[in-house]
Amino acid sequence: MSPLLLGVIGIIALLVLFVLSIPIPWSMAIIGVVGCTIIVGPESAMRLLANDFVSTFNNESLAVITMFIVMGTLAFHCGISDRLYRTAYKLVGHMKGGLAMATVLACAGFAAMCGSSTATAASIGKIALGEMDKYKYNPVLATGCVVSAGTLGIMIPPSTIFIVYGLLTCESIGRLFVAGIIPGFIITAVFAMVVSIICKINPSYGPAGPASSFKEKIVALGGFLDAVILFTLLIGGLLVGWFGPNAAGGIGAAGILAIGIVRKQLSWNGLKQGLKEGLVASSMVLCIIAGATVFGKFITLTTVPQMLVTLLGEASVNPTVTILLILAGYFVGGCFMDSLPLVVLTVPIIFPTIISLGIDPIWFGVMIVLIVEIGVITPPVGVNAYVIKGLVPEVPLSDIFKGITPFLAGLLFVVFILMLFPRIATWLPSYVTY
Amino acid sequence: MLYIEKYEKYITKISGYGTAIGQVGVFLMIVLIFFDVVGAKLFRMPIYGAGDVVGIIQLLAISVAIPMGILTGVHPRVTFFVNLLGSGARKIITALTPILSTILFALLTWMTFKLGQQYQRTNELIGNIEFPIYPFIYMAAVFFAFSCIVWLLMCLLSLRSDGRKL
Repeated sequence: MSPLLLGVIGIIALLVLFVLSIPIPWSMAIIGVVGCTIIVGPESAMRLLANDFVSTFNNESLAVITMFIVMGTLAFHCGISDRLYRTAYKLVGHMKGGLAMATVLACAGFAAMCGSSTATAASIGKIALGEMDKYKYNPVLATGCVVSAGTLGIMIPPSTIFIVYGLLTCESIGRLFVAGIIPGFIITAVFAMVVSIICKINPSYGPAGPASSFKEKIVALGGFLDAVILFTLLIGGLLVGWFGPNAAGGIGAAGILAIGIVRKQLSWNGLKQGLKEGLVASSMVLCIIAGATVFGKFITLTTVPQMLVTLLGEASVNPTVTILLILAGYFVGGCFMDSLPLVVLTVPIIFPTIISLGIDPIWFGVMIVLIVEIGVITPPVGVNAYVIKGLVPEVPLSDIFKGITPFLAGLLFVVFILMLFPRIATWLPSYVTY
Repeated sequence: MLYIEKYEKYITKISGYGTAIGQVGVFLMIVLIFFDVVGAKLFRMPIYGAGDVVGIIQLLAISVAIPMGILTGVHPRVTFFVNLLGSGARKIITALTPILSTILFALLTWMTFKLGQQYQRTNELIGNIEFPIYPFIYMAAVFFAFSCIVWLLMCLLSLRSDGRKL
């Protein structure tokens, strides 16, 4: 059997294991090791399995993932999400749909300390949904905005997906982080506009909350202060080359600990819980990477990525059409699969094609994050929707997905803007030294 | 079935202890990276071999946390299609995951032990700190072996599965 045919069979077998609901990291490892056994023999294949798992877990560069995940979980236990929401609430809560806008702003703020969309949605959702319910917000708007704004977690740095994309493609994680800032702000603005439009069309969806005095607003800004300082330190440090992403993760986690201690909001139990949640989530992410490494070696041996490059070269398809097809593939994949494994699994296969088409890898990274963001809120999988459903079991899932629809349109609008003006994503990274 | 519950209780307890060790490891990683950066940038005195130690701590912390991840079901899976099936088919499929995973982790444990033996024979050292790496590889193998035991528990539990939606 030719290696190429074996590669195609391997991909189909992997999809079968996915459909059979075998956890994604183990599916990739199983197919990878079986495939390698056929190509290079059982002894080498099994040695590869142990080597890949041990070297992934022992990889100092991957500590950046652990550090940023722990930073996010500690941020929640330090009460930062609560403070961010209260601040945003004081600033815009008096407007029609103001609480939903405050939710969007708080998610953007929390995203600056957390690299996960589900963690962002859950952390802010725990506070925001109760408040919106208190002020008689329509659950369709309330849940839709929390689910959608949670996606900012993987666009605004630090972002787990950017880290993984950077490690898989050898692109600078610092440049990728910085590339996500402007699109992240654009998405925040677009989401706020979506809320405003919804409340203009249907004012009963988001009644205005109580107004705050100017002094109260100024005082409330202090709630953003620690997030702003930490974000500036991390991104500034990366921009000017003070430290690399790995050190940034450690500094960020230590910074969150310091904030929690200074503000006296991090209890002993909170610290233990934050470390535990961060550790278990990191183990999940590193297992996915280890599984994908085993599978990736098998796919490389089968020459499937090279075949894809040759095929597209011979077909001489317009690069824009190719990109649209790839993004459409990610969109469909994102509807059924979690964002991280989708990226880990597909990027090593697709990336040589992207390079051969002369597409900017930083821009492509931002586009991938944007598309998988759409995936995490799109049915039938839509992980964020299920997370929020867990917080408000009385709201039907159909209402949650109905609420997401206008925000989804907003995200597609941003995709369109980034396709037309790629410099939005590539301008800021051109100043990064690391 | 009483023995399964007892077995489950012990496994959960041991996984909890393992995770606690991992939590200490993560905390050490934060402290080490922080002092390494501060030492390097402010005092031009980085901690010698900090990166290597961070890598080793991560190896142990992550491998010791895998059992907790298995027990809490954090590993992502595509449940959409299986949930469309009847409860009988779901029951069979539910049993498939722990069986395949037990085999995978048994292989992983065995090969990691062999990797440890190889490193011991060749006296492989950790980067800058020049400390033998093999004891840590053996420790990781022990943690993988425990994950294998957790998967065996999941095999037993899947026998009791009523085929409910995932």
